[in-house]
Amino acid sequence: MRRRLAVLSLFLLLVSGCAPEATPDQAEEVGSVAAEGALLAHEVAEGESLGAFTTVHAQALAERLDRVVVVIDDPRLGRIATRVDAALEELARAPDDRRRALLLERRLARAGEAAGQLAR
Amino acid sequence: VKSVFGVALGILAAIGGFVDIGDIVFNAAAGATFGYELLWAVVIGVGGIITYAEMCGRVAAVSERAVFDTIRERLGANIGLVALVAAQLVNLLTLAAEIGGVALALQLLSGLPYRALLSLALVGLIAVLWLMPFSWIERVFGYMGLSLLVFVVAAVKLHPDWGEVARGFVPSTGTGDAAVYGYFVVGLIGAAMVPYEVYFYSSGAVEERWRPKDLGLNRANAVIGYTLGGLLSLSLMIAAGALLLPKGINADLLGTVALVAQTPLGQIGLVLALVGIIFAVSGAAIDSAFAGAYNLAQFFGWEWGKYRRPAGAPQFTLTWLAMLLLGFAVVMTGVDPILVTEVSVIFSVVALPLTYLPILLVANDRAYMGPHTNGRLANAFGCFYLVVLAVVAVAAVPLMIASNLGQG
Repeated sequence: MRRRLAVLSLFLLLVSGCAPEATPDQAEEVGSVAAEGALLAHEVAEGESLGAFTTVHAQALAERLDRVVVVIDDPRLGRIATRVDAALEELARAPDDRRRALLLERRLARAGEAAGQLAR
Repeated sequence: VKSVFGVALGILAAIGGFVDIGDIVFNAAAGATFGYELLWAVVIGVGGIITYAEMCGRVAAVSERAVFDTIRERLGANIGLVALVAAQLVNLLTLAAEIGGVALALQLLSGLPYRALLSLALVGLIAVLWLMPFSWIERVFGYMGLSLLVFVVAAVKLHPDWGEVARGFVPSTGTGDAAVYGYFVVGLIGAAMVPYEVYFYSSGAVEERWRPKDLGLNRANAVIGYTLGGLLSLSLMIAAGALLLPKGINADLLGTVALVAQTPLGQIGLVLALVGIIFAVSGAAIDSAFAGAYNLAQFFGWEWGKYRRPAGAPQFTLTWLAMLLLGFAVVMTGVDPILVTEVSVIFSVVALPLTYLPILLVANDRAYMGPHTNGRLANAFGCFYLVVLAVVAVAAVPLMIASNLGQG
C-alpha cells in the first residue's frame, strides 16, 4: 500500500513537471502568521503590550504555523516558516525585551513579504 | 426620572450583553477576509433580533408566557420535542464555546494554563448563577461588557476608508470565493440572531414580571439596546477590515481580535478589549446556560426561575448546573473553542425557524395578545425575516462544507 502511494506521489510529481511548489494557501497562511507576529512585536517594541498577552499570543501563532509546516513541500516556504517559528518563540520567551522585539519585528516583516511573494 | 434612568440602565445592559463569542469570531474574521463588504449582513441580523426580541418580550409581557411555553403549544408535543432537542444541542455547543472563550481571554490576560482557567471559569459561573440576583447578573455583565466599546474607538482611530464602509451597507454578491462569502453571510446573520438570546430575553421578561405597562421598556430595550449593540459588531468588522485585511492577516485566534484594539490604542486598548470579551462572553455563557434550563422547564412544565431559590425549582437548578458541566466537558476534551463557536453558530441557524415561527404565530393570536397583537409593520418584518431564516437555514450546512468552514 505504502509503495503504491509512493509511486502515485512520484507520478504526480513527474506529471506536474517540477519540484514541489508552495500552494498559495500555505504561503498565505505563513505570510499571515508572520505579519501578525510582526504587528505583535511592534507593540512590544513600543512598550504597549502585556507580557502575558505577548507570550500566549506568540505561542498560539506558532501553533497555528505548526499546523501548516507539516504539509509544506516547497523548501523555500519551509525555510521561511522555520524563521517565523524561531522569531515567534523568541518573542514568547522574552515578551518584555523591547530592543529584541524591534529586531524580531523586522525579521517577521521580511519573512511575511517573502511568503507573500511565494503566494503570488 | 427614576423610570427613565431604569430604561437607560436596561439599554446599557442590552448593549454590553449583545456581543458573544460568535459575534466576535464571525465579525472579526469577516472583516479580515472581506473588509467592509459584509456590513449589510450584520444590519440584516440585528434587524432580525430586534424584530423577534420585541415580539417575544411583548408576548411575555401580555401573556406571561415564555418562548418554549408557546413552542410546545403551537407546534404540538412531537414537533415541539424536535425543536427542544435542536435548541438544547445548539445551546450546549454555544455554552461550550462561551466557556472556552472566557478561558482563552483569561489566558491572554494572565498567562495561566488554559485548562486551569477553564476550571476557574466553570467555578466562577456556577458561583455567579447560584449567588447573584437576576438583576445583578444582567447589569454587572452588561455594564462590564461595555468595555467592548473600545472597538468603536479603534475603528475610528484606524482611519478606514469611510466611502468603502458606506458601500459595505449595500448588499452585494461580494468578491472572491462565493462559498466563503455565503458562509460568512449565514454566520453573521446566525451570530446576531442566535436563539438563546430570545429564550433568555422572554424568560427574563416573565421573571421580571413585565406587564403591558412595560411594553415601552421592552421596545426601548430591543430597538435601542440591540441597535447600539449591533454597533459593536459593525465596529469590530470595520476595525478588522482596516487593520488586518491590508496586511493579509487571518482572524482565527481570539488574540488577533484583541490586537485589533491594541494596535491603535496601545495597552489600554488591549486591556479594555480583553476585559470586555471576558465579561461579554461570561454573560453570554450565563444566558445560554439559563436558556437551556428555561427551555426544558417550560417544555415539561417544571417550576422555573432564578427568582425561586434552588430548592424551589430543583429541576431547573439541576438543568443549568448540568448544562454548565456538559459545556465544560466539551471544551476540556481539547477541542478548539473557536471551531466550536463556528459550528455552533452554523447549527443554530438551522434551528432558527423552529424558534421564531411560533413567536410570530402567538404574537398574531388575538386570544393571547388582545390589543397588543402584531401590527402590519411587525408582521411585515416578521414574515420577511422568517423567509430570510428559511433560506439561510437550508444553505447553512452546505455552505459550511463547501467553504471548508470559511477557509476556502
